[in-house]
Amino acid sequence: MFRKSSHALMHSGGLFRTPRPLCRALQEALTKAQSVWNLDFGGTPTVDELTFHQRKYPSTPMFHVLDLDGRVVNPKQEPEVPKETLIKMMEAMLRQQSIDLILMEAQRQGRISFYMTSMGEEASAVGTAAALDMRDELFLQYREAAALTYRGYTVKDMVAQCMGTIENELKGRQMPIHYGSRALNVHMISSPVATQIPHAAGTGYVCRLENERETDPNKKRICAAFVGEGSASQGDFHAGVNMAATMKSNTLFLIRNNGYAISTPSSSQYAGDGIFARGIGYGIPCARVDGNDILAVFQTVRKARELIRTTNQPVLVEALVYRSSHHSSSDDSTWYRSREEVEVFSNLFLPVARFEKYLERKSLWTPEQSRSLTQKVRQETLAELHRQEKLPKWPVSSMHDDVYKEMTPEMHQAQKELEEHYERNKKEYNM
Amino acid sequence: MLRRIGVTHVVSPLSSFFSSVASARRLQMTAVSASQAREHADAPGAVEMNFLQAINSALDLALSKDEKTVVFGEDVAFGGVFRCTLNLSKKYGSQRVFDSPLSEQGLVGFAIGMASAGWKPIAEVQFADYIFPAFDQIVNEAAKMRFRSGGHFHCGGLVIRSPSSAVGHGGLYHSQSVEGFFNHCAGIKIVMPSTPSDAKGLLLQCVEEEDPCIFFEPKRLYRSMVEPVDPGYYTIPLGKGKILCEGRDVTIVTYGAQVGVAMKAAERAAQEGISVELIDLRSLKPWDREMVTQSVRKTGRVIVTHEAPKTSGIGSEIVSCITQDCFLSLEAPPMRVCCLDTPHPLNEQLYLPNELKVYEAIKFITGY
Repeated sequence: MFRKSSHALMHSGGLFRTPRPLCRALQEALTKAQSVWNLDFGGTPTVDELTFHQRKYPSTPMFHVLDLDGRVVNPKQEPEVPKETLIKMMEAMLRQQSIDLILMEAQRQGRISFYMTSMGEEASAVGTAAALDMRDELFLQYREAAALTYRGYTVKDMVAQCMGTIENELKGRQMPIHYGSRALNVHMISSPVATQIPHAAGTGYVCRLENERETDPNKKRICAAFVGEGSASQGDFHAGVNMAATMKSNTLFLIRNNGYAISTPSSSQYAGDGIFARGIGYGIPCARVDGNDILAVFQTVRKARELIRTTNQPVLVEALVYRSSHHSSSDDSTWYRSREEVEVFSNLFLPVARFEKYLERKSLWTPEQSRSLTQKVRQETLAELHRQEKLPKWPVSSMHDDVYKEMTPEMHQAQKELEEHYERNKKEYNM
Repeated sequence: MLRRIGVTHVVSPLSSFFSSVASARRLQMTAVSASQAREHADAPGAVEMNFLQAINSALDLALSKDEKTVVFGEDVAFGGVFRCTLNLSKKYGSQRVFDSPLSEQGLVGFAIGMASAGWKPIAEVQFADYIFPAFDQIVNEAAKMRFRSGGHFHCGGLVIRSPSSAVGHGGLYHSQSVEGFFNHCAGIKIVMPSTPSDAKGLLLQCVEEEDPCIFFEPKRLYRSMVEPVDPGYYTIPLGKGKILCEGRDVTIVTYGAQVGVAMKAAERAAQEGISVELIDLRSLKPWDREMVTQSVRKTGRVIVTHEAPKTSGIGSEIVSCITQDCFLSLEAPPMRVCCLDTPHPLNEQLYLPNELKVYEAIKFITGY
């Protein structure tokens, strides 16, 4: 597709020239040698007319199912999704929206130190999570909490992590929103961007080797990595996707292209056809999807998973979305984009409302259910905030845990010294 | 291409430098008491192995022991540029012994992903000088994964092995000793052996560790150092040093290829009646602080010597701990004999902490 389009662009109206008989020996020699370059010219390794290839316009269109009013545009493309899954997706998006509203306000009130919302990007995260199997390993960036919510991460879990309380099984060591759950197969989020991409290539390789030994198809699993378009500029993106391709990892790379990396617009991030076009360069299957259309995301990811499993190739999906919120609680996005832009695009796309209309049309959902669930989750989140504010943090004795599996003698000594120091000066530490 | 040239040059068996190293080895055998030297060489059926063969034996045993163990890196499949992985791909298959694309951040990140899924990847970084593209993956990811998740996730199965240190003509990018950069990073373990027997046992221990380990291999010893090695499976615990010869006048603390240099200097000093206690740390993080402390309390003097540059090298940490632990015993200031604080030049004769420099330090400190 890419080459055909490119060809059409550069040679519109022209005919591909037939190699002259004089060059047969050359053609045969190069065809014989093509495996050295891991290429396959399909019988025509050379051209006698110089061409520089570029693909910039038109950009590759994105796949969609629903229009802005939640109507199915092409009935043949409407995915068959179990009713329970449709409802679960709707609930996960509304839950995340409600949690985000409360916790962002909590940060403004100084009750937690930091927060990042998923506003406007709920569909890309939930649609992906719904299309995957619960045993599939997830590597998140940081704006995919809705995927965790879909998998069963609770309000209690989120509040405990954001507050670093004793109830946070992760021991309160990372900034808020750095969630993870071994039970839900969601790897711990870390702040350095893109580092999870080669991890997902390696885990995806493990999935491939284990899938090849596994006889029960229901136990086969893949690995999925979520990546922002800014992160895709990191060297780890190149390293991870390229290595997944050469190692035939069972990995899905889901790119959330929301147009901004903090203040940096995509025009300063890349000049090619988004992130989508890069996957073509690594030689793997790629798709571009309307990230605000949860059914399109679901269908694309479901097909991607099948493709990964049946062809042992990683797949790259670029979901185009818009970041409705500030980057984080430390950012005021009006410094670099107008309020009008945010209002227009946020109201234009509305991924949650779009899907709600679809469900209402199918009599699977009502506005009252949205109001009820939203109110319930907000109250639940507020109650958790109140409750956990009274809980202690992890004890001083835990500060040296988990650096290694076992503590070294020097760490034992350091821990002992710290506890003695704390006991001597307890009153001066406001804990 | 540059790396390829470096590789070809480095493995020249005709290098006269190797002869002097072999000579150092003979001195070492002479000086060390039999029971200590042959920790794993007296086993029935011990086989003569050089350093690279001991590594190969360790990798072979690791692969046969656990089918979730893999070995990979740049050029590993055909046997590796130092032949450490010779025949392993044929024996265990291309899914378990394989080449990676040429990207250190990629191969280390990939290995972390495999380890986080419960496998044991032994990743090779072709020269320690090229581990820096993976520094972020090692320091920000591998080392912190268990801690940041409260113990729920880890990449404990990760082992990174890498040729290290001077080789005579490696210049700036085929000679570095980079262990000091990683010593400042909580969450990883660091090993640098000086003999084939230790290399094998320590590498197998690294594979068994449930914490990420970096295993540095002094490449000038790959072919030049030969000794009987137990062909069977054995491990040597991390965090334990080794006293190569006992002495009463001065303690020398060192590791890696520098052990041979220190041994020659000690031999020279012995001819003048100076008795040197020589400690090979072997394991750098964790290190055997207790062994060093006991030794320095006995001798009252200490020289720490390593090939890495002096400023902020591991020697600084060791000397600081010695000063704290042995303050009342010290009869002279602790000394450090290290490479200069410059990049590693092609002509390294005066750059390296050679036998003469170590010998002069012994004379100076015992005459203080």
